Amino acid sequence: MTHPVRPDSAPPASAEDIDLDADRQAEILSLDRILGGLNHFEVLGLSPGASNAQVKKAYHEASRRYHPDRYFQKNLGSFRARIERIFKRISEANAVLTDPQRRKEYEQAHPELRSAPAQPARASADEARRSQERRTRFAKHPYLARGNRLNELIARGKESAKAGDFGRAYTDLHMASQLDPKNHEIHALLTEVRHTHELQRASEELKRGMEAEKIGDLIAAAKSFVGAANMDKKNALAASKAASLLLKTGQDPKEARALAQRAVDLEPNKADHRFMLATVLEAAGMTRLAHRQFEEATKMNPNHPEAKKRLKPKKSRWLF
Amino acid sequence: MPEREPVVGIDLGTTNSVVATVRDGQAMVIANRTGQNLTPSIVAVAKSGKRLVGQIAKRQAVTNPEDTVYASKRLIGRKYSTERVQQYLKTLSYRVVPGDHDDLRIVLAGREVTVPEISAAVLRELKLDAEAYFGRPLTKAVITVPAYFNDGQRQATKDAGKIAGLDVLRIINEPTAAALAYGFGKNVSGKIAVFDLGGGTFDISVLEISKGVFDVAATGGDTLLGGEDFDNRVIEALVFGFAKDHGIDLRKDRMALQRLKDAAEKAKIELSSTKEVQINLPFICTPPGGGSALHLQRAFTREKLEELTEDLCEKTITIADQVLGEAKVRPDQLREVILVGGMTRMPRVVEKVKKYFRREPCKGVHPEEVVALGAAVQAHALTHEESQVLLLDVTPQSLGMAIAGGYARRLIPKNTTVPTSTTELFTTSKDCQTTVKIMVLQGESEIARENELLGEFMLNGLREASRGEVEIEVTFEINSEGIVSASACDKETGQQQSITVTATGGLTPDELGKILESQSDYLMEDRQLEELNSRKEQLEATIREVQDLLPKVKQITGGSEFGVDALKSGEESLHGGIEALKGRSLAAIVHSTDQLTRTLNAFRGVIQRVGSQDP
Repeated sequence: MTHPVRPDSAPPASAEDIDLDADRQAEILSLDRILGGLNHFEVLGLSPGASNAQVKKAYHEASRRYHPDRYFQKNLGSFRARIERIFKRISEANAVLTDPQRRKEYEQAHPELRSAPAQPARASADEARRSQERRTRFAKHPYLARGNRLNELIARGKESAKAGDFGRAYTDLHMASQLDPKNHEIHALLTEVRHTHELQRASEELKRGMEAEKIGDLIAAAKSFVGAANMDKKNALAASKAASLLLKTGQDPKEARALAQRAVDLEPNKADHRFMLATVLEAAGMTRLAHRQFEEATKMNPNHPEAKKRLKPKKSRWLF
Repeated sequence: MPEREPVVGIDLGTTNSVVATVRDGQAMVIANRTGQNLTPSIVAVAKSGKRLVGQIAKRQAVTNPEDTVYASKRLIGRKYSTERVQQYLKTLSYRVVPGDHDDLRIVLAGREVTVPEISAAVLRELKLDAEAYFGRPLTKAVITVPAYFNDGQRQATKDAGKIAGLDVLRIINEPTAAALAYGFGKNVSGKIAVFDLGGGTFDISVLEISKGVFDVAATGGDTLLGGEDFDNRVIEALVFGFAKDHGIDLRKDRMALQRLKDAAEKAKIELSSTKEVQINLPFICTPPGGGSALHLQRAFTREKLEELTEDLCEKTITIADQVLGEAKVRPDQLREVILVGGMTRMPRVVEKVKKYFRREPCKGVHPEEVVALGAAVQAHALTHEESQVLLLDVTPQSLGMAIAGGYARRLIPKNTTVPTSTTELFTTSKDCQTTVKIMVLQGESEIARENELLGEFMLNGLREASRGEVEIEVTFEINSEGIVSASACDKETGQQQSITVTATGGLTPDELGKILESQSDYLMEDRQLEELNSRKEQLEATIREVQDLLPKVKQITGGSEFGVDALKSGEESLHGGIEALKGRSLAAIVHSTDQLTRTLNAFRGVIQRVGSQDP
C-alpha cells in the first residue's frame, strides 16, 4: 500500500509515509489532539445519560475503527501510538460507563453529565403527552432515534462553526460521524470544519511562535512554528519560520529542509524563503545546492542583507 | 497478485494439539499426515535414538515411560520450587530437574531439555502437517493458551513457537478462541459463556458478541485443573486398591505407572458412554520377594468415578460463578453456554453445567477442535483487512507493584481490555530514601510475595527528603501484543527508568538464542537424523571394503617401504571409522569416510600396480 500522491499540494513535512491514507491520518491526528478535552460520553459520540446498551454499541463501533488489531503489522509510524491512545481512551470510557458503581461515581463528580439536556417546556399537557408518545416511538425505532440525534448534532455543529467555535463544532460533528460513518454530508462538513479549525489554530500558533521568539524561547518558538506549519500547509511564512528555528535550535535537519523547501515552493519569488533554504542546505553540507539557492535569491533581491554577506568579492584565483 | 502466505491457528493442548486454517471463508481443521485431526502432544525418544512426536510417540509410551514426555503444557513457564509443581512432578513417569533459574528441565534420553523445546517439537510436527497440506512453507501462526496462563507461561509458549520456526502473530486465550469459532460467519449477538475443561486446565470466559466484535467481559480459571487430574484420581484409587491387596506401591515402578495412566484415561473416557468398565492390567509387577507376577483386575463404575472427582467438578462451577459475577451477568442472561475440551464429554460435568446455567449447553461445536478453529479465525482476521472479526480481549490477571509493608498495589485490574495503561502517583516511605524498587507483580493477592513476580527495576538518585515528599509516577502498560511494560519517573527531576517484561519462568533471551542458533541441537534432529543415517551407511560400506582389501594389501606389500606407512595410517583410519560409527557426530562420520576413501584408493592403487607386475 502506498501513500496517495497529491499533486496539488506540496508534500506535507510531517506527513509520514505509512499505510494510512491522508484522510485517516488527519482524522486520527485531530481526534488525538482533542482527546484530553472530551468526557466519557463525547469520546463515544453519545449524549449524557446514554444507556448501557448504547454505550456498548458505540464502543464496539469505535473499536472497529480504532483498535490496533485493525492495523495489524501495518507500518503506522507515530500513528500506532496515537491509535493505541485513542483506543485506550474509548475503552476506558466504556469501562466506566458500563460499570454501575464507576458510572455513579463519575456522574457524581460531573453533575452536568448526569442526564440528557432538559427539553423545553410544552404549552399544554395534551401536547406534552403526544410529544412523549412520539419520543417513545422514536426511541423504539433505532434508525429514527439515531437520525434525530444525528440531525441535532449536525445542526449544533453547524451553529458552532458559524459562531467561530470550531473546536466545539468539530466535537459535535465527530460524534455525528461516529453515529453514521458512511454519511458523506457529515464527512464533508467534518473535513471543512477540521480544515478551518486548523487554519485558525495555525494562525494562533504562528502568533505564539513570534512572541516566543521575541522573548528568546527558541525551543518553544520552534514547536509553535512547526505546529503552525503542519496545520496550515499553505502558509509559507510558518514553514519558513519553522525551518529557521529548527536550524537555530539544532533540531531535525531533515524536517527543516522539507519545511524550507515547502516555503520556496509556495512562494517561489520571495528572496527570504530562498535564503532560508540556502542556509539550511548549507548547514546540511549540501554546498552546491545551497549555492544555487543563494544565487537565485541574490538575483531576486541583490540588496538583501544576507546577499551582501554572501557576495563578498571572490578571492583571486590566479595562481601566479 | 501472488497468493497470500498461509496462516494457521494452533491449539497447543495438554493432551492433544490441533492445527486449523481459514479457507474460502470457512474455518477448517488440517488433518495430520496420518489422517487424524488430533495430534497427541507427546514427544519421545525411542531406544534407537529416534525422536517421535504425536501418535507414534503415544503408542510406544508404555514400553518407554522414562523417555516419553506427555502433558508438558502443565510445566511450561513454571517455577520448579513452587509447591504445586512439586506435587505434580510426583505423578510423572519421566524425570524433571531444576534449571539454572528455578525453571524446569525434562530429562529425555539422558539430556536436559527445556519445556519450550518439547512444545516446539509438537509445534514443528503440526507445522510440517500444515506445510504438507498447503504445499508450501508456513511461518505465521496464532497459538492458544489457557486464559488463566500468566505472563511467564505465555512468553514460554511464544518461545516454543520461535524454536519451531514459527512467527507467532499472537497468543490468544482458548475460551476466546472457542467463542470466535462459534460466532464466526454467523450473525450472532448477545452474551455467551465458554466453559473449557481440557486435559490440563480449566477456563471460563464470558463474552459479548455484536456484529463480528467479540468483547470479552471476564475470564478466569485454574491452570492445574483438567482431565489429567481426573485420571490421577483414578490412578490413585487403583494404586490404593492394589496396595491394600498386595502391599506394593505401583507408583514406584515407572513402567507400571505409565500403564496405569493409560488404563485410567481409557476407563475415564469409556465411562462417559458406559456405566461400568473392566480395568485389566496383567503382569503389572513382580513381587519384590520373587514369585509369580501380579495382575491388576478391577471393575470401575461411573458412580465411582463421579464420587472420586466430585470436588473437581464442583470447583469448576465455583470458578464459573465467580467469573459470571465479575462479568456482571446472571446465568439466565446468557444466550448460550459453549462446552469446550474433551473433559466436557463427562456426563457429570454436563449435568453440573446444566444445573448451574439452567439450560442445555450448545452442542454445535466440536469440543476438541473448536479452539484451533478459533485461533485460525483470529490469524485470518489479523492478516486480512476485509475480515469483520475483531477481538477485544482482556488481561486475565491483575497487574500491580509491591509497596511498603509487603503489600501489592493493583494498577491494572484483571478483566481490563487490552491495550491499556494506568498511571499512579507513589511517594517514598522512609526519610532520605533515594532509591525505590519497582517490582511488577501479576496476581490477585494483596500480599506481594503471593503474586507472580514478572520483573523489577530500580529508580535511583531521588532527592533526599522526608518520607512522602518525593513523588514518583509509575505507569504500567499492556500493549496490543500483550507485552507488559512498566516505567517510573521522579516528578521533580524527570529522571526515568523502565522495563519491558520478558520471560522469568521460561527461557532467558540467552538461552533462547542458544537454542535457536545451535543446529546440532537435539530437538532439531529429525531432519539431521536422516542424513546421519545415510552417512553412516556410507561409512559402513567403506569400512567393509577397506577391511576386505586389508589382508591382501598386507600380503602384497609385506616388508616393503610402502607397507609401514600406508598400512599404519590405513589401520588408523579404519579404527577411527569404527569409532565414529558408534557415535552420532555427523562431522566425525564425514571426516572418517573421507579418510577411508583415500585409504581405499591407495590400497586399490597398490593392488593394481602389483597385479599388473605379477600376472
